[in-house]
Amino acid sequence: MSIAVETRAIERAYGSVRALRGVTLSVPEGMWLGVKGRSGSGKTTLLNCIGGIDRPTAGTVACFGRDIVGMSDLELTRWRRTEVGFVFQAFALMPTLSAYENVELPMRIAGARSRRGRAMECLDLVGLTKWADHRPPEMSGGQQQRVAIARALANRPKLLLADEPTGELDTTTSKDILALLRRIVTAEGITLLMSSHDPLALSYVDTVVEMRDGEIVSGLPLGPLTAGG
Amino acid sequence: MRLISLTLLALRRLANQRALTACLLLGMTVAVAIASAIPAFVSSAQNRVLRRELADRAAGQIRLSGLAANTRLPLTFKFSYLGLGRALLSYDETLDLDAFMTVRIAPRLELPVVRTLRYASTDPWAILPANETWRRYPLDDSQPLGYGSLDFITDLLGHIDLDTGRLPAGFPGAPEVTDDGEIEVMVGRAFSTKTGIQAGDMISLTRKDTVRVAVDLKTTREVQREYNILARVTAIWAPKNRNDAYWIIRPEVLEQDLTLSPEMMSRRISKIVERQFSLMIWSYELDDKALTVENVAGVVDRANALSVEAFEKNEQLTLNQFEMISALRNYLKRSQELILLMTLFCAPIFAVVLSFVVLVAGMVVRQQEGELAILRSRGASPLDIFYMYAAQGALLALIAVLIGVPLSFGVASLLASAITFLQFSPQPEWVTSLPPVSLRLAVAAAILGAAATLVPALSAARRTILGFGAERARSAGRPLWQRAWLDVLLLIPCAYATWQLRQAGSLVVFGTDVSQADPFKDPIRYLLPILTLTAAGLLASRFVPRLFGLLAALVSRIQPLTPIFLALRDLARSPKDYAGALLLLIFTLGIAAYGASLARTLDQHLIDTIYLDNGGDLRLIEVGISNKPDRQPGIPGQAAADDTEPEYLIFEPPEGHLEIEGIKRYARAARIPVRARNAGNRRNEDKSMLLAIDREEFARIAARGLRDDYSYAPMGEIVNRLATRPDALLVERRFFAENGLTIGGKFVLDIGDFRAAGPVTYTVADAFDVFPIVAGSEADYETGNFFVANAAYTFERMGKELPYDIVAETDPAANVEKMVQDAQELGFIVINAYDSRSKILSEQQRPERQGLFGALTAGFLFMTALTVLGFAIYALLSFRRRAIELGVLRALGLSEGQTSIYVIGIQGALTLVGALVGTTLGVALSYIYVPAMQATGKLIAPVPPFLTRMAWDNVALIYFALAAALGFVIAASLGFLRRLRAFEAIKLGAV
Repeated sequence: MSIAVETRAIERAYGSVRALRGVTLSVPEGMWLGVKGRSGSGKTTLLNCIGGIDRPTAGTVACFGRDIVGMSDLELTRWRRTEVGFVFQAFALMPTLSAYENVELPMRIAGARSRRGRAMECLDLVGLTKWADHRPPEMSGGQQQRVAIARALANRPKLLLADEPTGELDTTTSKDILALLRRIVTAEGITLLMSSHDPLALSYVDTVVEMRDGEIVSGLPLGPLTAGG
Repeated sequence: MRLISLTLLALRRLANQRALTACLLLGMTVAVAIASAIPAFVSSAQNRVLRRELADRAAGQIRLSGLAANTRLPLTFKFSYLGLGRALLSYDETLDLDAFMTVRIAPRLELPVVRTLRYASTDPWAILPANETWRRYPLDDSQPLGYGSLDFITDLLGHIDLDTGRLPAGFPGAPEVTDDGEIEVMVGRAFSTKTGIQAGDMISLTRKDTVRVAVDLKTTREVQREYNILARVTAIWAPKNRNDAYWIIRPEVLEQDLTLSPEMMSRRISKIVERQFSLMIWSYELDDKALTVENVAGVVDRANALSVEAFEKNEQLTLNQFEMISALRNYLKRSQELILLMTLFCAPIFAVVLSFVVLVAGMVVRQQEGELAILRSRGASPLDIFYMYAAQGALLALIAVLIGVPLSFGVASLLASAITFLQFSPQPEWVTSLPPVSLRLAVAAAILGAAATLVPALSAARRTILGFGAERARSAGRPLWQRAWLDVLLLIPCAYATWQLRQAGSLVVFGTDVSQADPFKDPIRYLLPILTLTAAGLLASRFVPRLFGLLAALVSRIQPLTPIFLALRDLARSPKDYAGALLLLIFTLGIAAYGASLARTLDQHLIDTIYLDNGGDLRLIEVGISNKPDRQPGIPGQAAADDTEPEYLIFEPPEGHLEIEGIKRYARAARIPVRARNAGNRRNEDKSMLLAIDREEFARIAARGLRDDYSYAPMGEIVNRLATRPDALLVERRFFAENGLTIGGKFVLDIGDFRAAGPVTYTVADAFDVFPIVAGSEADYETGNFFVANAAYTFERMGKELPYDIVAETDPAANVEKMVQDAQELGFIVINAYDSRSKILSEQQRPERQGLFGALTAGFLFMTALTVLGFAIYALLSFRRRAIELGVLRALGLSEGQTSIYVIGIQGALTLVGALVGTTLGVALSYIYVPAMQATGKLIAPVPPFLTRMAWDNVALIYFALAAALGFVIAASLGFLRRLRAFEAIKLGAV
């Protein structure tokens, strides 16, 4: 089984604050890895560094065998367009765009030609075809998060990064979203890294690592994990 | 306690949100400075008009009276009693009048009195020699030496020198007046020189009065009484300075009188003749430094009231309506015109300042909506939020007033220094005081600025964080005014008023006095252009999102333009976000383009008018020399009764004008009275005018005065029709149509003196509406018709040259007086010279004009400044608001370059569309309303009419300023973008 994400001793410091302190991690393809820990433990920073929207101060990050730390900003941007999808805690949808347009947006940015079919497919996957023309503020939190997931899947990424995806949702809605993610990981073979401190959320993942003060303190950080395990 | 903690929280918010606080404070300060500066500037312009009026009148009076040019004429209320014939006053009556003036008049003068003078004189006495000493002069005993009044004037000694002798009794330092001593007088040097009277001489004064006496109980009869006084001339005096403002009676007049002390007058002279005082003057010199624009009307009103009161006291007692009061009255009339114009141009500035403050306040509060929603969710009541914003607003308003009011002195001084549109005098006119209204407006602007934050803050305070999210969902909705169709509702009355205006042709209704036009009585009429712009701007902004949507659709399939597409779609979807900035852009561009074009039109119209009157740079009015040397130069053709040879004029060869330094080319232009023959070949008795010109040179010289709208075809072509044949005649189009003339048809004019008029046949070559010299602005359009023909043909047919003007093109640096002098040295008899350049300069320096152009400049500068500032604030705040959105886009794969294009696209597209819409509306306003700004109360159309000139160079200035602002905003945005970390932006919260 090939490795989807491999980090080696990555560190990230913001001034005197060390958010990551030499995190080493290997995640095989198709695994749903949960990263748990308290606020400020470094979960989001780890995901940001793996997703290429933040750069580690030291160490390496390889995704599907490519070192992303050495990439230029433009290379990193292009890589992000097709290889990775993001789901944020606060949804981060564009309020002036409809659900369909939000899903279509990354494809448009990536220069995809036939966008409509894929966008509707993604919306269908998250069960929001009927809401395609609605704007985010007209939707519930769960619906917005589904749109965000559909958007993250639009460019068929191999890696999905979800930062507290159920943080702003109630339990029932959270279950729906987590079930949806489970289905996607299983059906699409996507590797999913999800940060959360919610035990409910972590009950859906293949495996969990725990972070504290920028370090992985439990779990199986070094050896390859088995997907679905 | 709670209030204190809320106040502290408000202050902490101000300190923490430094950028927003700075934007709001900047906006409020600018608004305060402008609001305060405009009345100060208007007051300064009025003050200049006042000073100029007083100076002009004084100069005119000084010229007429032959005083030295540097004489100062004070502002004086001069009451005089002139009792001629039977209205002579007794001494007691003079005391009564004196008491009246002292008690009733003097204390009620509007301004401080700096000098009071009293003068009294008797009817003239015959002055005769009193003893043999007079025999040294060969005078006839039977005739008096002269006639002189006995008079006195207060405060005399400080203004005269004694040539010889000593002061008469009763003056300081002279002997006291006694009941039985000699009557002592002094005389002026001029009188002494004329009569030979010297100090120490005795003179005999005689006067005869006719008095009615009772003969018995029923009848009276007139008897003559003769009075004789022996008086000693103790001194000969002369004025120290004849031009001194002290002389309420010219010293030349006083020198002819016999001056004595007031005490001598009361104790001795008043007892000799009962009624003898014929002239009394009370002069109150006012402190003209205290005369201000604000109290002029009061001074004039008080003059009127006191004049009436004096007349009621005694019909012979009048306030002299001399030049200064007349100047003040004239000032009030001109001031009304100035206020009318200023109101027209300053009202929109206030409107824009107001909307600017509201816009900035709205933008700032909008930035804080999220925070307000959190505060509400955490338990703050709407009242708490209202109080917090009120505290913040009060503090900012106070700071804005403290900074803005001192700043307004500089702004007002800058405007007061405008000599024409966007041109300033190198010697600035410093405004050193603010009228009370300035401070009131400054405070009002500050309060408005503070209040402007309260409304959106209260609106935001009604929402919790959930409500805020829902509200954001409606951001694509239309603003209230669009939903209520206010733009269309406003446009309807504007369209109707515009239609009415087009029918009337002018802002001022025919038959009314322009100076009486009151903008406050009919504000819609005067503010029509601005109201129309407002309505049209609102209407246009309704379609702008659709335009962006259309453009977005056009570029949606072009992959490299994805950032542009995103920007356009964003603009199409969120009109509420930028409606304020867009309207500010549209309004200010529209008003600035309109104002600049109005200024350009006025400027060019001045030049057009003067060149239409003069025909060229210089017009010399010359006459020839009569062939009968004993007669005066004049119009030829007057046959002498005693001579069979008709009189005619001999002219120097006109080529000589080219020898005059500064004259580049010349043409003859003879203005000849004619009478046109109508269709039946009968003479039309209407007086008409034929302008006979040297066609070729005239066309070149008068090029600046030949506007293409003066006829149906370019005027150059029309004038060239005269070249088609020698007898070609140009006819007024109105006359051409009314008389059924045809091109090529013959037409007869009776030329010259009508008793011996010579009929001359012409061929109609073309028609015009307006022609230089004959149909200028001063021509009386209601009588007569105008024709233009070749001078050579006309003179040949008349058999002689007729008087003509010389119209010349001159070197701009040439001195007109020198040219006239040179012409006279060459033998030309120049009786008048009209120099177009001097007249233009003189007109441009009129204070009213400078005031108007200052107002236009103010409008232009302020609107440009506010637009640039408002837009910059909007753009920067907008960027801050979009930070999360930009972070998401970066995370989704938009590169830094593409994100920059997206940001530039939003700001650039908005600026471009706003500027284009604003300019288009400004151009439309200029063409619709500028011609109607030619205020006239006359029934006839003004000549020449306003021809709208677009000031594209000035409009380009705004574009440059906007481009600079845009550049600054983009640079700031890109700098911010470079530092933007997508993950940080996303963590900030919801988009």
